[in-house]
Amino acid sequence: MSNYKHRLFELLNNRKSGERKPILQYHRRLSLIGFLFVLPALIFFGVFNVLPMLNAFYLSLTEYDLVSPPVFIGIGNFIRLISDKNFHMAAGVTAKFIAFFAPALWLLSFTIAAVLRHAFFGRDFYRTLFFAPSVLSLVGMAVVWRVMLNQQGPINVLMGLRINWLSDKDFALAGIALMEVWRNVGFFAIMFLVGMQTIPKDYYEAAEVDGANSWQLLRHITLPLLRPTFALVFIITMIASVKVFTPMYIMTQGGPSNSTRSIVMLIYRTALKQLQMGLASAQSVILFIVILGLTIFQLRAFRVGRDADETN
Amino acid sequence: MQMRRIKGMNILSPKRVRAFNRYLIVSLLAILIGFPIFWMVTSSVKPVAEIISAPFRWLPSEIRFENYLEAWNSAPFNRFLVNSIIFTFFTTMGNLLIASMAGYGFTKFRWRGRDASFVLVMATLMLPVEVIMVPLFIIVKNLGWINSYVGLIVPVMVDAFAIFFMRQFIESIPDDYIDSARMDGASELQIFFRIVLPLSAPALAGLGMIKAMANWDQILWPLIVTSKEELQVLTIGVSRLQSNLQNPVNWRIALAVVLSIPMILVLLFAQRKVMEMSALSGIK
Repeated sequence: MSNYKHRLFELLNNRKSGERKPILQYHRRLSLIGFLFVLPALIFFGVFNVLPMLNAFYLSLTEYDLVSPPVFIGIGNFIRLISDKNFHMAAGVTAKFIAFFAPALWLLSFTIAAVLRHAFFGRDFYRTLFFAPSVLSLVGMAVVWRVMLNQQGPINVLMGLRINWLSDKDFALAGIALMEVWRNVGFFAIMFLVGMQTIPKDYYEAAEVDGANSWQLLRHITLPLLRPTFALVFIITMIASVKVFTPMYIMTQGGPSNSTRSIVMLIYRTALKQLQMGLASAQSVILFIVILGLTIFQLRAFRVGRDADETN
Repeated sequence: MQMRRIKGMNILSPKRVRAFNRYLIVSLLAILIGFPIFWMVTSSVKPVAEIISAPFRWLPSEIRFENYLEAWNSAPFNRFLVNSIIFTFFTTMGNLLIASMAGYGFTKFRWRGRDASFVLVMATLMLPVEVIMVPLFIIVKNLGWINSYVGLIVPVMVDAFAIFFMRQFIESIPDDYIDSARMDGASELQIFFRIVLPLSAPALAGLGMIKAMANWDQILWPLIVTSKEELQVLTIGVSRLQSNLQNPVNWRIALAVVLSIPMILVLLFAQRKVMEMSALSGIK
């Protein structure tokens, strides 16, 4: 397609056509330019993303306190982490957080999407309202919820409870999960809505003609055709949950009794408070592997979703 | 639902009942979701004693805007604000520039290794700050960039989603615009700045908006890179204030509102765009 362009280019720029050199020069020059446009990004990623990751792999095999040079200790850090109570605790905290957070989030946001997909008076206002919490400052919301979860605060008063949320090691994580569910429902509802909009209305109309009720429409049309959306929602939730840091940092600083110290909080503490760079790097490597695993799982799951649709 | 089987009762037709149910559910949910925001705004102007009070108070007895002033004056918040603005501005602008250049280079040119390096760039989505923060801190330290604006801004200036997004958008720009500019003898940089960028304005605006909001809210990276007060950002300032239990509670809430102001403005003026962008940002 670009075969004629170089001729035109030469014509207008007073070059002799038909020579092999200008043709190659034109394409080669453009290739180089394209690469040059991408180069800054590549340099940034190389220096500030890839290099650190490679460094992390290296440091995870050492003991390093920033003062004296790194001491190579092989897989010592990893062996230590296998029986490390702190690490187990942090992994448990992250897993519990997901258990509290994910199902409630998906259920609620799907419900909101199901309600919002039909047009009704004031829908735009409601949609913006539901969406607002995910846009407002996370730090700000964490600060506010920390006060709201006070034993005499509005959450308890309005739900008729007397739980000392953030000071109770059995409830602190639930409190944080509650805040995160509140904050994210709107965002995921929008995701579901976008997915729902891709389902042709004809399917529903045809089914209704055949006498299907709401539940049947949901089970046999909406849910199956939303498989890609579910896959997406799943992976985003998982990766975000595994990286969670700010709410814990603001609301509980990892307490009480480390019951809210997530993996990233632990890494932060190990590296910047205890200056154990090697151990922290090992923890980071494990976190990376988890995220890698989730990503690969998602790529597979997404493709399964697509293939299933094609055989319908 | 028995009502459906009663013939001739139009007021209670299935459609109406469903619509009414919908309104009920959505209003209930709206109250649940909206309440914390309502509480935040009203509490930010309440006297301290009324925020966590024995009989629960919905509305303040007096509106105390002084909360905001007192909180602001209790620590160098002017400085924190300036730092936040500097950080947000330069990180976002740098991101937009580099991402649009890379997006342009990835879609409007063909060069060896193009597709492979694009995959590599997308792979960096698996290397967020949380994963690489330890060695990144060490690298920044070795560069002498700890406690400097450069160290704060540069390492977090690029991200793969922005590149993906700009590439998608620039792909849709008709090649003719660019080719005819080349025929006219324009230099590649001119083409980029005078044609591609202006045509990408909607994408840049949307991307810039969500990136700016995300950067304004950043706390992890600033925590890692800055320990000196002169360089700390608003989020850190607020976090410190609320961890000092001697500070009155209404100060925190006032500051939380302040932190949310940019987002509130964006929501007021560009709701649709933000929601569009958010939906897209999930589909990476």
